[in-house]
Amino acid sequence: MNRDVASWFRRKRRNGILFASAVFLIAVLMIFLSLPVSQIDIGLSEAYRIFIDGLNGVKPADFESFLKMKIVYEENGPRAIGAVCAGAVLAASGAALQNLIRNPLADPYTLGISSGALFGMVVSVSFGFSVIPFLNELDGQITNAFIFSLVPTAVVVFISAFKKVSPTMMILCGIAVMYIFTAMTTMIKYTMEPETLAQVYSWSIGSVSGLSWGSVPKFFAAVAVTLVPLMYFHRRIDIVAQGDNGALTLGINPNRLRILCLIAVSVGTSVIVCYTGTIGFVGLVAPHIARAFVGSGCRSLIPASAAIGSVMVLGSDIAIRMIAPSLPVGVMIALICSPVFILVLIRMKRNNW
Amino acid sequence: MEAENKNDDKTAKGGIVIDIDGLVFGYRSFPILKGITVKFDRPGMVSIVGPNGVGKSTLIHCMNKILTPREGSVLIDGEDVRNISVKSLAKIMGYVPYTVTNTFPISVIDTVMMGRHPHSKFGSLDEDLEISYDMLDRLGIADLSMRQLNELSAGQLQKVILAKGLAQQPRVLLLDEPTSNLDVKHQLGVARLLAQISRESGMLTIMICHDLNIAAKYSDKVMMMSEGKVFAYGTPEEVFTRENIRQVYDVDCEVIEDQGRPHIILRD
Repeated sequence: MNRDVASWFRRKRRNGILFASAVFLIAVLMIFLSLPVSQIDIGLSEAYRIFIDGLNGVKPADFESFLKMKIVYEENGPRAIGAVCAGAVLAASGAALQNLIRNPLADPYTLGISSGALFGMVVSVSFGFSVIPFLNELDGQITNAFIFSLVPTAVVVFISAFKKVSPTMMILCGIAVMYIFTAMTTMIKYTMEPETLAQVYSWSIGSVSGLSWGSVPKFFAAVAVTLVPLMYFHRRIDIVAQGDNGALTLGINPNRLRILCLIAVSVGTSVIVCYTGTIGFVGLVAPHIARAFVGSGCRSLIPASAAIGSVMVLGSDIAIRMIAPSLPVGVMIALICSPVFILVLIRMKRNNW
Repeated sequence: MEAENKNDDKTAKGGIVIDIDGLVFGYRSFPILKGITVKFDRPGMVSIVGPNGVGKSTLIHCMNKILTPREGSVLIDGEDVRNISVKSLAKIMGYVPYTVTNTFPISVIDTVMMGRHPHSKFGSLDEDLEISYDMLDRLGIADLSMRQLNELSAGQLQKVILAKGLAQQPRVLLLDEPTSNLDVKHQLGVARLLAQISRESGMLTIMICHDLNIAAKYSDKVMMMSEGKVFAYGTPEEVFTRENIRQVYDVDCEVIEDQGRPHIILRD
């Protein structure tokens, strides 16, 4: 019997990792399959040849191959990688925050982190204002986004100086901050030039078009900065999920853990938001789909959510490229994934949360 | 009220000493604990009894740093808990709360494994699994190991939380009404097991208990609280008298002897 439990325990852990790896592999496969997907007709093998040429720095010979090179190598490549990284960061953040705050509605969006980052960026784009001076334009945007993405966390820390902040209060604070930022962003939008406005509009829905290879290292950095600390804390997050008092008596300071994780999530999310805008829904839904497959232990849940988030964003972007290339990807995510999510909720064995 | 002189034999055997001195705690202006002074100086089972709202849980929370007392001190082996980090405290003191939050349920064995957190290190997984399973087995719920928390009854859940606390293998275990959701058979079983583990491993078990007969049957010492103060502290025979129960609970009763322990029959 004991052996049964031990082997069941190990099998469950292994299966969680296997599931996450399998889904992640699908995401990687989708990156390759997505390379030729565009409005002009490019074959799969042709796309790879162009992509490898691009990697080797081969100059295109004529206008047609120049165009194809631009689409396959310069646009679709970083676009796919960006989509995968954005999905991974947002979904992993959502999974950890839901457990830490013990609320199924928590994610970088509902906690105000995303809208804070967007506001910081909009301020930088429209007024050229950067909180930290003497940075180039892009770094200025990123640091702005990061600093404003910390505002919800700062509000929570500020309130906790006066009274005990319950997890429910944290999410309510986040929603309040989110509305404030959204309102301020809307106000700024009124003063904008039409071209910037269109850009900001698509950011506020979330878009992965227009990414370049230069942004790829920053996407990888965002993934590392978010996933490494969250995975390091996975066991502690599970313990805090069962109640603050119990966690404290197991040697964990729950509020400190929440703030540390909020900071990690803010860093990752603000980088993502600078390039893609606020992609909602992924951070909320991908973890719940993952829960249905691997359960709610963070050791499996965080990687599985990240992998599912990647597939969601990239899959939606592929659909966008095929149907209506000018639409922001956020629209398609909501359109495709909501029905999938409702289906998962119905098919779920137990009413878990 | 105190019986400290006649027990020199057991204190030597590595028993932990908790010395609570003049403990005062209140929310804003409303005082809950009004000066608690008590010393737990040998392993065994101590039950805290008293009517609702007298500060039993508050006292326990002041002992394990969930709450910070306004005045007074809690010394563990001579060291003030204020100076002990939560991490170090977790290695010597365990806590079994009334219930756990269950927003995102995980499996029973995963939950009990959490109790091993203060001791676990790289490569201790097998040992942690072994201890966790053993505790479930001793509580008679090993067959629930692979179930999810949300599939359990209230009584089963309470036993899982208890197993989590026991898996921590602390030198002091604080329990907040560990038998409240159990049927009579399992109330007796759990109380007996706690008394047995306390005896075997030299653990000091401090349990809040509303069932006076359970407290009387299994405790080495009973602490009766009334209005934020210690009303009586001593052996079950010393504490459970008709007079004490009438004063503290405002209930008339008859105390008889049963199997060498006091047994309380409540009268209307």
